[in-house]
Amino acid sequence: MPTLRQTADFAFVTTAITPVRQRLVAEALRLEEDRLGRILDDPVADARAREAGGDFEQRVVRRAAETASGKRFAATLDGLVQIRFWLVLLALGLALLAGLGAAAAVFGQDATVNIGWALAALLGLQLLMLLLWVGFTLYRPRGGGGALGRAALAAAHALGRRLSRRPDSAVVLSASVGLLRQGGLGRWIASALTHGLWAAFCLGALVGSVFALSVRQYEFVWGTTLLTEESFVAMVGMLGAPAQWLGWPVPDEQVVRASRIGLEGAVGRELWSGLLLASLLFYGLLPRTLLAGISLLLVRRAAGKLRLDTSLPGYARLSERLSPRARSIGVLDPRPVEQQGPDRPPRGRPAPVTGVALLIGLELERGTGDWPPRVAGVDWIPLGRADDRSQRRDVLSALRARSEPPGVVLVVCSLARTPDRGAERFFSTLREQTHAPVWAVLDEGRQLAARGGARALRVRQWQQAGTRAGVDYVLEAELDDAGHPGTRELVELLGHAGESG
Amino acid sequence: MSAMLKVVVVGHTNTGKTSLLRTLSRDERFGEVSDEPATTRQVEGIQLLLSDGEPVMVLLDTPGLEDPDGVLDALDRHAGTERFDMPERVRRFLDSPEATTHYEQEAKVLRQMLESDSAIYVIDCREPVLGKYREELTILTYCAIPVLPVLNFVASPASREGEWREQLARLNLHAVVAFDTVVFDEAGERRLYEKLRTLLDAFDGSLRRLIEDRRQQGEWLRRAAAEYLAELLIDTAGCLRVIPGDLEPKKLREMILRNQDAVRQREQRSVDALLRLFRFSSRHYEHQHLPLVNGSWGMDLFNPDALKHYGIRMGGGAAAGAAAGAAVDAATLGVTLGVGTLTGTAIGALLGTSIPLRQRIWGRLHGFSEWRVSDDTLRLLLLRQMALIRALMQRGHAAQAPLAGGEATEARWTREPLPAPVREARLKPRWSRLNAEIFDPARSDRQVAVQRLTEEILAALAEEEGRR
Repeated sequence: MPTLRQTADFAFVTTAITPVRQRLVAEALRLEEDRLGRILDDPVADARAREAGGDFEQRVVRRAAETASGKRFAATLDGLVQIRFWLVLLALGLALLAGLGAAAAVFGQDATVNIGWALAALLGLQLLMLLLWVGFTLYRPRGGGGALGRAALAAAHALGRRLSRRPDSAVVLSASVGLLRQGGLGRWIASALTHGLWAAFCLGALVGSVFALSVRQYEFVWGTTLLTEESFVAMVGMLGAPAQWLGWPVPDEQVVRASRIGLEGAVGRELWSGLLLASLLFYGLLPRTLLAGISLLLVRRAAGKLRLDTSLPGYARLSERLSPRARSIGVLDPRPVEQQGPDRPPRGRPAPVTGVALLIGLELERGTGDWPPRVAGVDWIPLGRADDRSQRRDVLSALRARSEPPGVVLVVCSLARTPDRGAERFFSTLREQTHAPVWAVLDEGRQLAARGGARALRVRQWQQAGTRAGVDYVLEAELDDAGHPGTRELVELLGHAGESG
Repeated sequence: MSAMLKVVVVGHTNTGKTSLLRTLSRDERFGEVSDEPATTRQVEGIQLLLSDGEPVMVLLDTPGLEDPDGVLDALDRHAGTERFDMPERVRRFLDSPEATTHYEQEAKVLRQMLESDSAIYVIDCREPVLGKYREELTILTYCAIPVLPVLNFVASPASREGEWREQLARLNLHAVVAFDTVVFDEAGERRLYEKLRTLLDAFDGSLRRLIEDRRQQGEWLRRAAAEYLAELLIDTAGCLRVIPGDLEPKKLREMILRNQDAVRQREQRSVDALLRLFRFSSRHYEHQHLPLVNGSWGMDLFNPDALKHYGIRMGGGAAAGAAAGAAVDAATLGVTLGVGTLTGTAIGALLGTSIPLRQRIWGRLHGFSEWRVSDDTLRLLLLRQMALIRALMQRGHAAQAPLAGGEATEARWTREPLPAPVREARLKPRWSRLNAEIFDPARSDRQVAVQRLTEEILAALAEEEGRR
């Protein structure tokens, strides 16, 4: 029954129902997750919410709508809204009946009606409550909303809990209680309901009065013990003012004075009944209907402004799932096709060197005071450090300038460095510039260890780089430590260097 | 604004460019990171988003520069005799065949440089200021966009931050920022964006929004983490099990083990939630034998050694435990087992539960006893979860080392009494999710207690940060 559903939505006194409904579902899901103590895992719902975009609140709402629990809550909510619709309808019907009953009590079997009594019975309580409502709305804007409407809401709430047997109703209802507190939404709903119920009451009273006055004849009288006649005349004049202003005939002063109890002859029956009906209309039905309408407008406005409090931890925790901090835009420039360099077989340990050993330092951390390194039993000729462009040029020209070919060119590298193509190119250039074998000596492993680097891995990287660049031998040695096996090996290999050269 | 801010991240090989992107994007799965040269061989982009999903900035990850020497030579060759400005020279180099062969990696970087608004030059500041780095910076300045050097690994003891700052100033690079991609520091990240702001006037607005957004996120994150811990503590403190007194020892042991398991699982849930909250996946750590995967931290929650590790004296807890109407018994695996010790406070505790008083007193008379988590265990839980939160707060998304349980630096709750809301929760079994059948989340006193505890935890975290 789509039409019924729409009416039911309307009875929930908002046409901006969908945003409120969605937020109710999100709030219910938050409470449910709070109860469970964990966030429900639903990657599909999370992904949909992310795709849908929007601000964080919209994503939270979307996620809630997409989860299985959220769908269950939505169904429960629909059921509750229907129940509430019927309850509101029932309450309105009861109010109407109450109005009819009040009219029936005023226009009883007695053919004489006391004007003051009748007005007080039909309008007095209603006007008193209206005054109270105005007072509360002005002085305690946070509370209020009308006792009747609040009572009706509370009753609907309690009944809804009873009537809807779903286990989720409790969660949905407490979610709605929390959400309705925000932005005066609940207050205006209660207001609308209060005024609506009183309007129904007045309508009932009006209909009942019209019926009674149509089919029976009444004498209208009034009397007072305490007040003066003038004050009653003034009161009638005041009551009749709006009707008079609209051209409706009302009792004038003479008629009023003539209707006092104890005087002979009934006068102005039509005028009195007109005044009675006009008062019901102008002081009862119309203002209540108007206020109900205004309340409904305010409900709509509050509903439109309603936002989830996303600073609540239950929502904040979703931030990781729903709002990624970054989004990959993919590869803009693909990696090149791997070029397989010529596979050189790994070289074994070379024979001891005869001839001069030349020494080059590549990007070392040792200071100038520690250069060249001194190793007992080995004699080498330092060519210099090759840290930047000009130094490399100098080293290479020094190598070329040597008249006799060296026995070996040693390049001392630092294990603290990651081997790069710059180093490889330097090795290659060296290889081109000399016929002597080029060896890489991997020094400064301690510096690597000091920053927590993995030595074996780094050595392997240098060996690979050396192989690619055509280095003849890669050797790991701590040059400052004579006892290091690499240093001892170097001493063995170079021990005779220079002797024959 | 016409186009989005585009920043290219460049640097020598193996200095942590991809790591920087991971940390800034909080995405530990971005790209590939290893201690190898030339791990990244492609140009890959990532957009930084605000919480409402609006992209504010593109970051480009590039291959490392490896041979600045050769590139400078090539640039000189292409300069020829004609007089070009520097960007034009770079363009000529990019059009040359060398740019697709030997210097293909460097060409990729320079091509992105020419199309970006700014560059971040990542420096491994454990390295000495070598000639090649100066040459790289020279090449980068040819591209005529602002370059912001970022000093990575500043938290390392081998850091040469001072040396680098001095040398960079000599190269006329005065806006430098220290930002460790492994040891995350929120203030460092903010400084990085602030420095970019000073360099990029045109993007002032978007960078300011990014900074504000990240600050808010940080606050959210801390609060959410503290709340998780508060919930865990309240749940555990209120956990209550009734055990028949006449159980044979084997059955009793089984029952206690089962109860302990429930508490362990509750802790694990909190750990998983915290990892997710900080955008770290526990799956990612499994390969690295993370001590806290699958229910244990290497040291079990109910292991007396774990207490010692966090400097908790057993004695202190015993007194508090006795006050709650129970005694600590190491033989019962570190849990409190009130065996018929019905003291005055215990009656108070009884009143707080939903098991009807009549029934519980009847239970006492018929030899039932209660199982609760001891104060010492609660303290351990509090301390090591605090340590985890701190470790996560300071962990960059590029960190590769396994997440350790963290050292116990928390002085506050090692000796002092447990926070008041936790002590209160002791007497409120209805507050505990572990008592599923009577748990009532809607209780406002529970919510108040969780909020108060959250505030206390936040204050302790702030205090800790202040000390650092």
